[in-house]
Amino acid sequence: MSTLELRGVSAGYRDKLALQGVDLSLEHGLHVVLGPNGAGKTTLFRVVAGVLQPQSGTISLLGEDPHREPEAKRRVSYLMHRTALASDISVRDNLMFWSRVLGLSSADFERELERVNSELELADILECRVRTLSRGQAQRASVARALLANPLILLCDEPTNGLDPIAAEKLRYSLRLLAANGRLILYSTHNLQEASAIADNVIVLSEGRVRERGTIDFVASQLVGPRSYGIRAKTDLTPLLKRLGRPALRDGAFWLVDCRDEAELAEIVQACVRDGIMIYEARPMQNALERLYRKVNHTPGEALS
Amino acid sequence: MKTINGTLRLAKALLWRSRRQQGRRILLYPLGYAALILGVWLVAVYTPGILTGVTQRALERSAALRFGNVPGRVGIALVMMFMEGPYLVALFSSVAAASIAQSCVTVERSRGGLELLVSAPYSHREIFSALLLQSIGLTAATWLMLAVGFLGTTTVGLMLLGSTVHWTSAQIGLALIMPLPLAVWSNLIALLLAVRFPRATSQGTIGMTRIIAVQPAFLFLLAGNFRPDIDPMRLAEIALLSGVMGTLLVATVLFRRFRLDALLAG
Repeated sequence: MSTLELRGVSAGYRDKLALQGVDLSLEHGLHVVLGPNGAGKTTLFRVVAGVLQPQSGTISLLGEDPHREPEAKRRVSYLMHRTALASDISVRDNLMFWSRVLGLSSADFERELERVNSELELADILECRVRTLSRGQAQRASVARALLANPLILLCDEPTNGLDPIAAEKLRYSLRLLAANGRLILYSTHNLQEASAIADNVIVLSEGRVRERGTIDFVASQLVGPRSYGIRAKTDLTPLLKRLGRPALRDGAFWLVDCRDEAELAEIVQACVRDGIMIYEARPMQNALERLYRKVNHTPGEALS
Repeated sequence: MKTINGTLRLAKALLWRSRRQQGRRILLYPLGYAALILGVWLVAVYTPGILTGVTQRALERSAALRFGNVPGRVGIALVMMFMEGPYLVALFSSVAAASIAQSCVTVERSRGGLELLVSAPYSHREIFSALLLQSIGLTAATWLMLAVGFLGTTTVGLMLLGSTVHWTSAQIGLALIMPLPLAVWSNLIALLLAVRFPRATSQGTIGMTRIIAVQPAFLFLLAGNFRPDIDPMRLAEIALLSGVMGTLLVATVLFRRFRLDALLAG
């Protein structure tokens, strides 16, 4: 039995379907949900969190449907890009409130607080009112809220939105640790560098459907085919590339070659070396995720974050 | 039983947070309203010439009709306390109740708290019932502070004025209790508006929601002033009954029409 399983899930708002027949089966680890605006990422999270009832299909959290058995929602925690904390009380009071919502006793709360504190280092903000915190501190408090009662599945909907790079890196580090400790983390983001840095797996959503899933390279190769690499050399590569049956294309100082994988690139580099051509640099010209994102977005040339 | 336990647990948590959020304000706001009503009462009783001749005579006549032969100042104090006071308590309780309803739903929704509550291990019915209990609980606390604050102080004031009028427990009970269902009715009207028009109530039309929500108490205040021929006890009974009926009616509509997912999507 999978930790999280969706079968033919369609969901939306009024007559507009934001998810259409989604099938997913996920185990622990950090899974990045990638897709353009309106792809259905937030709707997917809302459905899994038990917030939005699907119009068809089934969801199973270790065999239980959160929409039929609300107790199953204990296994899931939802971290939105808004902190959703009450701003006029302290972080401790906010955490206490959510522990009461979850039905924890005072003793259980203190235990949970100690555990969460050790994972997220909250001591400096625990007694501060939320409205006095920076965005990064408030988001840390929000992660602490999400981790109360030790949920198995953590849904993070663009959690680093508005965070400075250091705060964002700290949060990603915490989430990587949590995933390494056996939790299933679903993480949506528009930030492709962030996605490539943290993802164990990628789920590509487009127009409410899962287009592909797997490791970043696997998904990129499935969706966008050969990858463009650049070779910077001391001399002109035109004769060599013609001999290899490849077009001689340039992008600034780089000669461009399309390869299925890095092994194919290595063969070209070896051919250069055999011909006595000095190679300064050989590298992918586009990040795998970036190519993927452009492909899914259907908007070549659009600025990426 | 499981649903009731879940509802009560969630409502207790919500009320606990309200108490932590508002601290002493939870007591000070209603006491402020009570002081305002008391101020009107004191000005009317102790400031000669503040009332127009017509109002003065009307109040004295009303006092003579209801309470027999009482001195002018005491008569006015009695009329202000027992014929105006409870409706003013109802009106101010209703104003507070409308704000409470909006903060329970609109403010919670706009900061994302409602979405998190729905993701907690409760059914939609339990969440709705808990929000309702929280809203009604805070309304009842406000009413209690206001009613006890105003009626308690004016009773002492009347004793100091030397009033010898005796009240039956039914009269005191009615004056004290009557504003509660009117305030709860307002609270539910504001909740209904917040639930049915979540965008409208969060985009600057909050004032309009409050005006609509306080109408029951306002209409009874007007009725007491414009129809002095109606026996005050009878009017209070009508107000009490209307409050209870109105509350049940709006609660039924809320329970039937309320959909959390529509509220979140709205």
